[in-house]
Amino acid sequence: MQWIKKYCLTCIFLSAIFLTNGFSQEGIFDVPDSLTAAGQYRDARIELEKIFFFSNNQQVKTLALIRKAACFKAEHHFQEACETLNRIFPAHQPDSLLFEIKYEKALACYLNEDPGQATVELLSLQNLPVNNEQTARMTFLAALSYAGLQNWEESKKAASRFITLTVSEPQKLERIHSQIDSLFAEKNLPVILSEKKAKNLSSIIPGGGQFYAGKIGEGLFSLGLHAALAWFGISEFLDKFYVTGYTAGFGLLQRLYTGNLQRVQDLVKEANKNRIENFLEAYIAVLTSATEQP
Amino acid sequence: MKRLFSIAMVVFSFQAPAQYTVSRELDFIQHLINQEAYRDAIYYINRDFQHIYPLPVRDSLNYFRGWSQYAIKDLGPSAASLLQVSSDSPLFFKSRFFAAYNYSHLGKLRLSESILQNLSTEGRLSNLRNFQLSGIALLARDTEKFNACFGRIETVSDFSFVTEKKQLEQYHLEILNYRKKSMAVGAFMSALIPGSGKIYAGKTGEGISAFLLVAATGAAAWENYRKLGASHARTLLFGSLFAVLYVGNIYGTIFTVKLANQEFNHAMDQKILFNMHIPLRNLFN
Repeated sequence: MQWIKKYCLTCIFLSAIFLTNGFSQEGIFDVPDSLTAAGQYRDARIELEKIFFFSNNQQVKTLALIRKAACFKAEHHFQEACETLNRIFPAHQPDSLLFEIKYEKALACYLNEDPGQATVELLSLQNLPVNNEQTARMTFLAALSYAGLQNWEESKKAASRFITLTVSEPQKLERIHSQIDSLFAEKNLPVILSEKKAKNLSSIIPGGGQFYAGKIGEGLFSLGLHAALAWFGISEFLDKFYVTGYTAGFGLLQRLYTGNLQRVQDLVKEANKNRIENFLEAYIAVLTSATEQP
Repeated sequence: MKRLFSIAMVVFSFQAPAQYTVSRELDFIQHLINQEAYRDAIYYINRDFQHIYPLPVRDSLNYFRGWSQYAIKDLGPSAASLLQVSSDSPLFFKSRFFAAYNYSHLGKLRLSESILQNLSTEGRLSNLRNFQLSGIALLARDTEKFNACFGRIETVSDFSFVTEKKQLEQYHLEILNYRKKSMAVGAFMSALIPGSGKIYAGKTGEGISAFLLVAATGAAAWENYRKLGASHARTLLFGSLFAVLYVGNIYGTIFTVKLANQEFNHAMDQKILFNMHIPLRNLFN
């Protein structure tokens, strides 16, 4: 009987080791965190998904998903980061964690080039009790998201709030405020060109759409080419080379003309994109200068 | 006795948690698949399951790997993994049918056919097997084999793929009635009237466009020839342009006709594969 007890105790001991290894929550994120730190994001993601799957603790599950989304973010898989954060059920989360979840979701949406959804997530954070540091992060992201939506007024408001929260030195605060004011002055805001207007201009004067999009050289070339083909067509007609004039002159002119109408619309799209990107670049530089130490 | 019991107890102490762990790991892989994290599932299986496991575990691992590869359209490796599922597994039939389907999709029809031919089935699975074999025969454009397999499908008591069966029959008729376009006829027609070969191949828009271009260049060449003579530079320019376009159009027609035949076959193959896929998903999922 004694040896049966002895071996049963051995079994209990071994099972205890197994259970401790399997279910201990002490340092549960050590392995995935070290993998993340080493840049082994896929391994880290799998470990985190395992923690999510095996854990019974709601908070641990949430933290695992937040970390997993961070891995996706580090891999520049922003869509997957959003999807991972969407798996978290917000109703059961404490306020402190709820802020992190929603903020991370907003950030992932912004990085996924969806500033509209990022703004929605940020607006849902407004009623949460947040500290200054969290408000600063929130307003920074709000400033960028509104700028992405070209809502300059709201973006400026958020930027001013972010600067006020971040900069304590009065001179620096004044300087950055004036930079923001200058950036948001009407003349400095990116003017969005109309594709329809460009197309109409090119319909009336070939090359006009290029001038409107700021491509003067290309506009002149286009105008010259159209004029040359028209001249060739007319001169052929005048010389009674009707077929040649129609085919080589007007036929080519017609093809060039319709192709040019499509071209100017693409040019305007590209010009608008560049203008917004340049503005955002300058804007981010000003905002980040607020956080720089003297 | 005492020593034997002690060894048995220690072995059991290590084995029980190990088996429990493997079972939980399999649940986790299933969870990854449910989350559509197929690449992670494949990576995880390949990374962490290199040891020799009991047959049921190996079967599950092969099935999970094959299924994940199938989900990400990595069909060759998927078929290879699914074929490793043993006949003792409850997933055996599903694995074989999907492996055969994967090979059909890859155009390895003989391999696909042999997998199904070597499968011993009965009842609904026999019907499904014959249906899949009919599909493979149709993909191979083997009318005789199609009729033989198709005739063996029993639909009096099994209504699970009546629609797909009708579709397959319809595709069979379409294949039989399809008149393969001749490249020589297309080229001859385009030589006679530029663009007409393309219209013959079913590309009416392309044909009209080609006709207008060649005719306009030809007319310009003729006009210059008539007014300036054969040796004038402009006549030579337009004449050369016309010749290049005329010959180019004939050459292009040959490819258009070839492409039109390929397009028909490709579209038909896709339709057949789609119809082969539906009953598989309905029956096994």
